[in-house]
Amino acid sequence: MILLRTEKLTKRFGELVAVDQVNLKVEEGRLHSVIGPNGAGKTTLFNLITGELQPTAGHIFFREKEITGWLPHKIPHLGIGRSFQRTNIFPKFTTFDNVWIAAFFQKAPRGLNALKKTATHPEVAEKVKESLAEVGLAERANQRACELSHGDQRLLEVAIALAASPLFLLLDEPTSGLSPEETRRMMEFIKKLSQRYTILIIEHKMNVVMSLSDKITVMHFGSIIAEGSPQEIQADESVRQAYLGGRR
Amino acid sequence: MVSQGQGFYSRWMPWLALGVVIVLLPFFVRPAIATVIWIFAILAVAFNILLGYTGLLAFGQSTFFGLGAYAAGLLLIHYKVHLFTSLLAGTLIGLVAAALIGRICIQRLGLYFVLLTFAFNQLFFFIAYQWNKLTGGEDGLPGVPRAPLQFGSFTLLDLSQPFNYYFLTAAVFLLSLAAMKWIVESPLGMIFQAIRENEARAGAIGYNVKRYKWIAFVIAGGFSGLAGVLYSMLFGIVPLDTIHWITSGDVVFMALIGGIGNFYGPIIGAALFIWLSESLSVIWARWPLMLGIAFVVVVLFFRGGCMEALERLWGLGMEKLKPGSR
Amino acid sequence: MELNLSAFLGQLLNGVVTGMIYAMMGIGLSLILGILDIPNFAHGVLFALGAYFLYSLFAVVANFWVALAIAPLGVLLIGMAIEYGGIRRLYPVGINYMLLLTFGLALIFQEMIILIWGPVGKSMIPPAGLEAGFNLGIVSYPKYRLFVMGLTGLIILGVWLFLNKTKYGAIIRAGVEDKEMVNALGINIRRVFTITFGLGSWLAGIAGALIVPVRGLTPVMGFDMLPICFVVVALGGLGSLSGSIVAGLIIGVAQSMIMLVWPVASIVVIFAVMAIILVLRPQGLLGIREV
Repeated sequence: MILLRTEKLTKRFGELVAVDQVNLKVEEGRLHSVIGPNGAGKTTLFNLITGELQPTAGHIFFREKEITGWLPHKIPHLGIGRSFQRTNIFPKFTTFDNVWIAAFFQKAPRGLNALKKTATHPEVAEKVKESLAEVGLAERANQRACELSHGDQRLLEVAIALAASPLFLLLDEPTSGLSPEETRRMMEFIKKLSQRYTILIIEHKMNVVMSLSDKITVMHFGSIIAEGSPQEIQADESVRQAYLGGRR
Repeated sequence: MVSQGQGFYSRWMPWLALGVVIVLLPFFVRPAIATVIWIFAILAVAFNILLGYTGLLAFGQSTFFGLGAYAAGLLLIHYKVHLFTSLLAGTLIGLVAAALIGRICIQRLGLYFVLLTFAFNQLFFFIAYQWNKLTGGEDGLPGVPRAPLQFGSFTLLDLSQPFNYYFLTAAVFLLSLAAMKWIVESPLGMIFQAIRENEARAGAIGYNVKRYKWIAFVIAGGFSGLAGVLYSMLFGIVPLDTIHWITSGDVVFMALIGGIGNFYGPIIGAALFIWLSESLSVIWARWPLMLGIAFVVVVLFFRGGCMEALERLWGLGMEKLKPGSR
Repeated sequence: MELNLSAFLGQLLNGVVTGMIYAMMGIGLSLILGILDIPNFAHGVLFALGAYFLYSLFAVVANFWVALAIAPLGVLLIGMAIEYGGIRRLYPVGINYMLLLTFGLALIFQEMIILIWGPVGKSMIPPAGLEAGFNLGIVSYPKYRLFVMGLTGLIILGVWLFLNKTKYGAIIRAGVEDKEMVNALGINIRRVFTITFGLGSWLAGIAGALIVPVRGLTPVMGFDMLPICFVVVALGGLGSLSGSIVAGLIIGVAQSMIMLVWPVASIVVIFAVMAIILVLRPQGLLGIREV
């Protein structure tokens, strides 16, 4: 089943076409990567899906429900979680609270839930402990997020996206700035996640992309230039050209 | 914060300390001044929900303070309402005005937000100034009686006595403080802080940031209105300054000098400010100059305010949130 | 209620004079707001300082024109000092603190004005040659005010030319739109900040100086002017020169005309109109920056 679908999705900034009539299909249960040279429009595409940007044209469907132009705060309610390329956490909150606040959002609007003391929401705390354990940050639960190492912050970044038990994860360069060891750790983690979630991931590190992905979409100058399995993409000449300018 | 446990000491110390101060204060300063301190303490802590907790610099809190004062004043003068009615009325008008004004101001970015809250402050100031049949204009609204604290025909407390009024105000202050503490320690308070820490991400994880900012604004407005009621009855007159933008600035200053990163900080700020302005104004007519200088010094060098200084000196383990910069 | 044509025209012209002054104040504030992201709470007192400097300089040199030329320069220097010595230190901390600094400075300067020049307002007659009225047919209108109209028009034109036709002006305009970009282009953005603050201050200073023979001086003139400047900027739109001009004129004329009909409400109406326009159009009439 197609979980997320975009139809001729376009974003223009004045003269610049950042995303050009993109038709993307993400199948349920798959780990789907989006790759492409810098400036290809990948993060812009994410921003369009999660509402940070309004499309100039085109449509976005999640489970065949139109979500084009939906504001960011409505997106998590659909079961979509997102992590950001530049670490986007709550710096002075503890690790625990970072995840807690993300996990709580579903309960917030209901009645006076938000006013009831945090102790009366034990299920949320349980969920947070689970998430932290899964991500490997359980020991750092009480540390301030701004004091975490970059690698741990990237993990927290993903943990926040996971906190609300989404169906669909958008991960924007989760391994950005990570050492090879940290990258390996993140990769294993994402692999575990891919068994439970549908994941759309932007990545630059080819080893990550090739070994994890079920399907790869290649973008260049805002459009999709190739799509297929890792083997197909590796063999694709146009992809090589886009990345390397025709030289190998 | 959810995860931080609070030791018995850090949880109850502030209340004990406040209790002691409340009892002792009238012996150090005039009861009227002591009363003013607790009134502005409510105002400053309420304002800090906006600035310290949510990261919103609202420059117009005197709008609600003034509206509460004038509303209560008028009701008390013309309709001789019950004490609780006046308190309720002031709070309500603060809530409603904040709801309406907030609806407009919250829509805009930080800069415009400041400008707009300031401009609305001006609007109401000029209405109060011009509509002198209703408000007394420049001369203020005189003759506000102190409704006694009575139930039916049984008068519990004759509030015309300064000490009695002082303790009433202190009691209202403690109750307000407890309510505001509940709010900031609840998940709602966490949401406010998340907005301060990272507004974009707070939205991205599912919170309607505008709505929560509005809620914070309304809460602050309500408590400001309540403080206004107490002020109107204190001197029996509602001066025009109550709704002037400089009063709004004073509230900002109180929060800042007390320490916006701490729930109790603004209380110290209010006490310091009131005490200073009282002492200085009898010495020197130009005392606002000292105020301005103090303001500049605090802003440039002393940003954490008194609370941070205290904490550093004594290593108190009180609840700590560092001020956000935006 | 006597509405004769001469009074009407007189008020209209008064409105234009006030409006031009408001426009200059608005431009200055808008530039500072645009490039530094702070509402300059000290803008009102800078206006007052311009007026008081003129008054004192005139007492010393007895030449209005010399005083008019030099007084705003004093304000310019003060403005640049504020930016360099105070606001600059607060860049890393955030706009809230920079804003609060200007507020504190406004209090300080306000009190110093009273300390130095006394709490009582003063007045000054227009300079020689411009005291009398100019016969416009329907009404005889003070020559000095016509001069103010003309000069402010020239100054605004000058600022416009500077911003739109010179390289440095382009840098400032770019900075208003996107600071980071300008910084990334290798331009010393801090110097741009200081100069822009100086320019804004100069505009406030000369506005204050010009108004002295029209309205006289009072110590609170700065604090009275401040909210109106804010309205002009909010209404005209952030970073928009033409917006400030249009808004300034609208407000000046509206204020003046309402005085004829319903004097009590004139200033309230201004704020009410501002509120309404901002609800409908948050970026103001001609605003550049998206909100």
